Amino acid sequence: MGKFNKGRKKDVPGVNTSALPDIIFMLLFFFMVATTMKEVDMQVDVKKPSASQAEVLEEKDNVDFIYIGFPIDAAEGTEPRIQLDDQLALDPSQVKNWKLSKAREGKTVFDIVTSLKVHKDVGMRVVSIIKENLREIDAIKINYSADKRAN
Amino acid sequence: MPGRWRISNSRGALNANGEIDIDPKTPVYARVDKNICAQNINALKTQQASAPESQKSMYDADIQKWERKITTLEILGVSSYNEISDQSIIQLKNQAGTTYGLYIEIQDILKKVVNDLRNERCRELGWGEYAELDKEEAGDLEKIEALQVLVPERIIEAKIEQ
Repeated sequence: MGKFNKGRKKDVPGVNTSALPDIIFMLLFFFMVATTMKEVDMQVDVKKPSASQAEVLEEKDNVDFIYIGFPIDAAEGTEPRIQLDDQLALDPSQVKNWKLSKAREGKTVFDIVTSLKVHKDVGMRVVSIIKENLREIDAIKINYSADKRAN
Repeated sequence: MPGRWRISNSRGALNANGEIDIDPKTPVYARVDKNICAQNINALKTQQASAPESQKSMYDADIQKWERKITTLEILGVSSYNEISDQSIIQLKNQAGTTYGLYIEIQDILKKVVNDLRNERCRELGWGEYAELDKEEAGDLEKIEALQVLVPERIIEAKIEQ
């Protein structure tokens, strides 16, 4: 029979924390690698329509995005607005200068696709005005953004 | 235009003069062969050479279009094929109040029709399903481009009256 010595206190050894920095660094590197920066701050609400024949957009570096939707900030009103980069456009004709300023090294405006991300309830009037503006500067490669749906 | 003719189909009926009356809606086809392609490419290249610098790349797209037709001829192994006239187009007319959602829905339906027709041609040629051709593979890419030439997607949009 063994003797049980209840009264004696055992010293609990301290937890070895030498691996803790390793774990923290691993997490840090994981998030650094896995994080992508949000390209623009959305000023407009864009609920995209869905389409069964939608295709995945390739070469995203070669694309400029124009957002058209209803302003998130109520002070901007309820009419559909155009967002170019981080700002709301005051006038659709701004699209022309904006697009021209986007020209990249070795690419003409004609080569760079313009992708329209438009809220599904926006009328075609504003979309059409933008397309006319783009056509005037020969930026005629346009695609329409939609979510992929099964059928 | 030279090199163009109408192909009569069941819609054409003999009239009193013994000629075939052709429904104006009958599509017009154009014959495409290597010579025509080469001529067009040469003409475009001459124009491109004298065009201002900023517009040069616009000609590349047109030249590429004719080069693709040559590739199509090669891949089909034929000396010529009939291509539906570039005047046969789908015109889409919107009203200012049409919502973008509806517009995309219509575009989606049109695209589906085109894809279905391409799929049909794809099966006829014994290439399997159009949707299963892989852009990343060189052999398949050629097939996709050939089908895009054979079944062109020509949608134009009328200007919206503001």
